[in-house]
Amino acid sequence: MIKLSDENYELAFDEAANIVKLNGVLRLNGVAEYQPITDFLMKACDAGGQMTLNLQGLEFLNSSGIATFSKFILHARGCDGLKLNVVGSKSIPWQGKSLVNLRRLMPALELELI
Amino acid sequence: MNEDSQRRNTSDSETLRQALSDVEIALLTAVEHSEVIENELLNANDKMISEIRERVVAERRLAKVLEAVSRKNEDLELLMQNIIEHSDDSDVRWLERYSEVETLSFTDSLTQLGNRRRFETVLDQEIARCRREGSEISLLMCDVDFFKQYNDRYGHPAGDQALKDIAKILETTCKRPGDCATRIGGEEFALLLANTDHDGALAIAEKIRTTLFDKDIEHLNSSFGRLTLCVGVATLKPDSTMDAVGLIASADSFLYKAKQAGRNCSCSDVKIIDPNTSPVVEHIGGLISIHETKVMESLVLSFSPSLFSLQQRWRNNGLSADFLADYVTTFFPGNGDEADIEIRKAEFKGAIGYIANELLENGMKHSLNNMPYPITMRLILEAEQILFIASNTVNLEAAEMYKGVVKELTERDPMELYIEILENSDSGTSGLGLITMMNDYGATLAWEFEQTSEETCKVSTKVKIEV
Repeated sequence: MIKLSDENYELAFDEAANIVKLNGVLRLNGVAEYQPITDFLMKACDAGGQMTLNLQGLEFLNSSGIATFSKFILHARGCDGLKLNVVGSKSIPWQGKSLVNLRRLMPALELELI
Repeated sequence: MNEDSQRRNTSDSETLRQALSDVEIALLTAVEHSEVIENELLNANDKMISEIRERVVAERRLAKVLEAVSRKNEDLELLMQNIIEHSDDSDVRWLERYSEVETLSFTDSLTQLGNRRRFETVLDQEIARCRREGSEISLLMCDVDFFKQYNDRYGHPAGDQALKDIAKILETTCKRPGDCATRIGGEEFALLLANTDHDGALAIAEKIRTTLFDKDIEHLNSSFGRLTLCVGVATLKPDSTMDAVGLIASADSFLYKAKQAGRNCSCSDVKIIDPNTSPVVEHIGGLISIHETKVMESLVLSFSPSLFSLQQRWRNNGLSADFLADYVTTFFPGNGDEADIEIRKAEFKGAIGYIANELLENGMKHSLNNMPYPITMRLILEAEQILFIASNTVNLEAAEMYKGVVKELTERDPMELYIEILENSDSGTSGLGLITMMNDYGATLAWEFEQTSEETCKVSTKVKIEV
């Protein structure tokens, strides 16, 4: 399990299961500050096969964050044989809209709102 | 002829040969030229075919690039749309949160009335508005009486509920759009009444006070037996130079005077006692409003002098007794007969002197060295009687001493007398002992002992004078 965090958020990467889990509040300043998170996502993506992005505990995501996720989705779309599964929460308002929008970039994306 | 003919024939033949040669040359030239043209055409054709092939390839490449660019463009548009929608959504939620916080920051969480912040904001706005419109604005400062004792006796949840009940009274009383009811402190409320003059404000103050009184919320640690409040009323006229701070200070000062006057009353800037004509006024609690005497049908003068200075005052110059006697006879003019008034003045002074002696010489001076709180003196003028009360909090040992004094004076057991008084009194007073006795002036003297903590006891001495 690899972890990345600051006082507002926590990212946990379970390499064995290829699950990236994000909790807390993500409001980093600009896409550049999201680079460490992007790197984790790309790494998980490059492993191929099944990948799960669990955002159930991510209460807030700013615009740079959604841009980062959108770019990641574009990257994932180009990865052969990758099956991407995004898990979100119905009780977090932004996820209902923005995660559904991510599927417009990658129709094959499997979205599960719990 | 023949020679000529022969020459002509030879010449013709030569011409024909020449012509033939020319034709042959021309033909050859034409053939050769065609071959060149044909080769050139072939070359051109090959070149064109090659170019067409290259263009087809280039077109295909271009189409692929175009498709990729187009796809990228679509992706970017979607990406941008996602970001915009996400941002808009976040903005809406931030705005909602901001509005909630904004509302909360102006609301008192317990009573749901406005808080001090709201009060200060609205006060400035309303003062400015009333000045613009040339109308009056009134401020009511309300404070619950003996609220700490209420909390101590009934617990904080009951205290909170009482504050909610009072908030509801304020809310239902202030229904006009310009009215603003707020809780500005623990048990302190402020009501801002736009376009309201002094009389209107006082009427509302009284409505609030009487509504709470009639609600009859039990408060056995209050002398009223129920929860009550005081209201200070101040009115700002449009031509006044007074600002918000001045208006608050004015309402606060009348609230203080209402407290000094015995609580459960409203007080405003209408005075019946002129402080310039009576030097004692300062010592008996300040200014009393006409309205208060009308509404309460009783008048309470409270003061807390030191025992020593009080003794000096009573013994040496009798100023307080004289003043009080004058005031009492003003309050109860009787039939207006001067002789009658003089007799009643003398009776009152005698009664006061009696209680002063009993209280100061036989009773409270014993506690001089153990006096945690100052003595409180109150003169209560009611419809048919005058009640003079002196209270002091003492330790239990001193209380026992007082009981001894009572026993000595009455030759009866304090508890026995207490039961007797409870049976015969409608005052509902609680305490360890309550003893009455008649004196020569037709006054009833009562001692009351109330345990206030494990170590202390409040001892009150009362004189009731029938008028």
